[in-house]
Amino acid sequence: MNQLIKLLTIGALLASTALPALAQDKTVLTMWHNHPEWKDRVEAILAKFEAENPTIDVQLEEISGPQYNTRINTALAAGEAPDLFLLQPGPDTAAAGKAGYIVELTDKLDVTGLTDAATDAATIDGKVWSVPVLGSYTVGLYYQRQIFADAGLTPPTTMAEFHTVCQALLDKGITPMIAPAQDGVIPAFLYMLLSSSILGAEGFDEIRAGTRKFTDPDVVQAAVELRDMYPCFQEGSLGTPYVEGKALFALGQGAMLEGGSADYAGFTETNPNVDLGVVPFPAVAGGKPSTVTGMEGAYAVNAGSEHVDDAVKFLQWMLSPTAAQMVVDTITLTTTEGVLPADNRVMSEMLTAAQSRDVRVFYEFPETGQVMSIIQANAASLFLGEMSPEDFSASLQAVVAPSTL
Amino acid sequence: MATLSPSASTLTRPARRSRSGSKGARKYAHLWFVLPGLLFFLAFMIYPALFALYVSTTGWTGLGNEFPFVGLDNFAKALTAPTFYRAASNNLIMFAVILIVQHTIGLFLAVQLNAKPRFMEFYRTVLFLPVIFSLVATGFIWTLMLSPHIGFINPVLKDLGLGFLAKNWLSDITWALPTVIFVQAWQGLGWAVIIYLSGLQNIPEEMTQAAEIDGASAWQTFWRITFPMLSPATTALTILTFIGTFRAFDVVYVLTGPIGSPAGRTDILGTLIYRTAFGAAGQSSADVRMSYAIAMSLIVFGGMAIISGVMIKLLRRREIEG
Amino acid sequence: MANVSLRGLTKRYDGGVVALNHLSIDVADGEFLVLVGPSGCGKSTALKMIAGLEDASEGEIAIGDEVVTDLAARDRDIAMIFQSYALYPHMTVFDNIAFPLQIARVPKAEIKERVAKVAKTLQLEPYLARRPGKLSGGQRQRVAMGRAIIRQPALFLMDEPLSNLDAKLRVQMRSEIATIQKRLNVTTIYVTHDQVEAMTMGDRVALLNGGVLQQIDTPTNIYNRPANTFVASFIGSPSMNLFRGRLVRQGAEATLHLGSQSLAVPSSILADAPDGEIIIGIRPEDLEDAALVPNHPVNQRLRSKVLITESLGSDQMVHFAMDAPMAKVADHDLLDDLVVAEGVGVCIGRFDARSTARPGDIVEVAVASDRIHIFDAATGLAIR
Repeated sequence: MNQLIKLLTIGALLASTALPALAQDKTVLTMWHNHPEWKDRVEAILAKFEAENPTIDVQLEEISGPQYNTRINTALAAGEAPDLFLLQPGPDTAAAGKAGYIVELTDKLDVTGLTDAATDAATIDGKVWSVPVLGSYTVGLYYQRQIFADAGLTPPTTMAEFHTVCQALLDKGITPMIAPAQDGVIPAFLYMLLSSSILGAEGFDEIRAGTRKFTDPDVVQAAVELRDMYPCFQEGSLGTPYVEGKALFALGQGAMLEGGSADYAGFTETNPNVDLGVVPFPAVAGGKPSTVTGMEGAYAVNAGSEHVDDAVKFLQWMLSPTAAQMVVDTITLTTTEGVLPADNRVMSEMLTAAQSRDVRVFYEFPETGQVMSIIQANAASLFLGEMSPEDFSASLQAVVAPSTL
Repeated sequence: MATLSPSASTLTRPARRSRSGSKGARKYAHLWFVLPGLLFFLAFMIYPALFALYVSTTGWTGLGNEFPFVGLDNFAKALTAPTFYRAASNNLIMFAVILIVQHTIGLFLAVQLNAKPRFMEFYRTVLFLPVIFSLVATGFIWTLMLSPHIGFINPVLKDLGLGFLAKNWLSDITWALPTVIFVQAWQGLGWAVIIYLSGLQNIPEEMTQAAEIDGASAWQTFWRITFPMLSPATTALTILTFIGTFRAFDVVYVLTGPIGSPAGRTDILGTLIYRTAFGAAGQSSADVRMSYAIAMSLIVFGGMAIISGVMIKLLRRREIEG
Repeated sequence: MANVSLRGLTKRYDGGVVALNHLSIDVADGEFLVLVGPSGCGKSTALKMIAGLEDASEGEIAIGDEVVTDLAARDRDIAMIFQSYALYPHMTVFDNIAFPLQIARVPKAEIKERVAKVAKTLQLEPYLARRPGKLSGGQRQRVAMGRAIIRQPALFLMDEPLSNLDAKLRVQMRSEIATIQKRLNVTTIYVTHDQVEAMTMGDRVALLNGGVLQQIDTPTNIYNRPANTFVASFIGSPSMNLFRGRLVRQGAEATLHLGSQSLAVPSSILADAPDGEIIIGIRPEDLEDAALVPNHPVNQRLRSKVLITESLGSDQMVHFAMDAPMAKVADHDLLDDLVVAEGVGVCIGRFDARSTARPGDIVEVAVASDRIHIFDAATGLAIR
């Protein structure tokens, strides 16, 4: 009899602890994005959210880069997209909004804490469709501090200095710059950086408006500079895949690399002892050292989701200083205004670099959405002298669709 | 069913008297057996094909549900795009080279194996192994081996005193396409060997014995008896190689990326269509033009169908009838 | 034109199987020699070795005056017709026939002329432009013949060339081949498992069994004077009846005891046969219904019960029981079914069609005693 009472008591105790969990219907939010390499860091942020919001369980699926767009587009068309997902700001988001795939967040979400660039990226024609909650990336010039110190060099601030540094490193048998140009992405960023040095944010707006052109003689200089950098690249740069290039740089096989704030986590992953510094990209004569900034994707809510409110709640939390601080300390720059890296020198340097002259990446705008793929396709021809800087610039200008604003 | 019955009825035998079931039920009973396969075919082959045809006449980007009708613009654009012809000519070069490799080296290896050397199973397995490798894995392994930074091919060449042969295989505008073709050929050589070997094993020993007794040398026997009798294998292999090289994608994509580096020298129809449909980089899908890509792939499909048909017709002529 | 000489020709395979064991044969110039024997007897192996398609493990082959043992097939000046004909399917009949000449770089005009001649001989003229796939079996056979004879080789080898034809065509082609061979007068070695072909076509017949030559002689001699029980049972259809029996001599009189019955035989056929256990061989045609030969000596008769009769029209095969043990011939599948269930020996007689013997009848069987064959009971060798 005693035994039975004991058993019942234990049973009741166990039930009382289990009941709240059973009674409360836990909402499961599914979410997709394209950064498998951030898995642990993002999971840590999600754990924090779930701890503060025990009724919501965010389940994240990472789909690696090249397949992501295909997967999400297919899932959207099939009505099988997750509750939350990353979309590229700009043309993609606009199309998804127009198709009714995503929830308009204008009145649901308070986005006043976002940086100007992030606000701009989140808004299309005055409506908010998505928010870049997992930060933004600013792209500048990484350099190996030890190599520069050993060679008695300082990071270049102008392209003239860049070529001096390049020659000095070549003389020492050191690869001056790693530029994995196989898929053309790195050359595209190099061109964006060089042209941004000339244009600045205002100049880029003029390109979008059609009042300036890539073929303007001063802007053509960006193409000239891009071409002239080619000899500073590592051997076989045109055949080097992106991942191999990043690994080569992390392992100290080259002195400089054009890279974004989000790349740093990957470098430390490959080589925990990597000793890097960041500066804005060297200035073209007459321009300023520059960086470009893009959003690490903006997160949208599936119009077909059964948990729109919880999804919005999650996005709102992600904009909070708590989440933003975790993003900037562990992943990349944050999009929340005023949140600074607490313990990440490289991120701090990147923030400093962005104060010189920061321009948004071209492909987040409908007017210049196609420019990147044309740079990708034609950069190698420019390097090899098969295409003149003038023709190269003209090929870019040809796909600009100036807005009628 | 109703539309099927009349045409299918020509395939049935004249109805015989049966003890049970109406004449019609007996006559068309077999159609029920093909129905599942037919539905599957309609749902997964015909419908997507027709849908693709429709999409190719629109300006659909791949996202959203706007299908503005553009007529044949996509086709006209593809047929006037230099990149399309550049890619097609790279496919053509690939086809020609691989065809020659398969009909020479592949045939030679098959003949050697047919002589049943010691360890034949081993050689055969080694030769066929690349065929069953994942294409992506094949490409990736070769990328690693060929890399000027981490690959071992150049260092080995240097160690062998052949340093002058070391190249930036995948980034040199002269060598990139040959290198890509080499890997593709290496990957598919096992097919050639197996197809030719089975062809050789189908030739009765007495054929070559008869020729030998008739005074033919080994060389004459091969060229006058064995090779002509391999013509079904030659036809099959030529067609398979044609189709294989014109739909090549995986290995090339892994070796030289989405834009056919360097400077489009290794751009083939597969990579061109892929990056048009899905974009060349993860950052943005602003350059995605799905309907244009579908139009290109339909042009390629049509071209391949016509050329394959003509090739089969021509090659069959030299095969033995009856 | 040449004679062929095989000396101790032996083929041993890995694993110790001996396919051919010291075959020695001399074939005269222009002779038609038939190599016959059951399947696996080594006849095809022998032919392939003569052709040069298989190496000899031992022994020597000479064609004409030249030892060709180590020569390649193409250097032996032979032509061969295969069982499958081995026609080149991708060539026309013309090219098939012309192939040996084309290889030998004979001038085109001459090739044309010679092919025309051969085609005429073989009645292939209408088919020259066709491919073998469009020909009937008999036509293919002729093309194979044409390819063989066009070169006028020193030696023809034929490997069961008629076995793929139907019975009627086989009879026709048999005589055609024999006729052509006689006209061309080319030494020919012809392999077959068919005793009718052997008997009708060959100048001489060489009978092989288990890789060993059993007997080589003219067809008549092979039939009438078989060297051993194997030859005796292989040649002739139905086979020779072979029974174990006992020979008892009493002065000039000799009696063969077959089970419970006995036969008087003239001592002339007994030669050196010892008294005691022997094997007695009687060909079916040497048995007759005694009712039809009333004058047949009484002591040269057997009395037995008829089991089965098979009428062939001209005559009938009568199977009757014998209580003597049958002599089985090793390695010969044709004789295996001759023992009926009860362990009764069966003897077959070729009776005249007029015989009224019916199953169940007890008949008197007249034995042509002077044509009885006597074999050694232990070795199976003929005793003469």
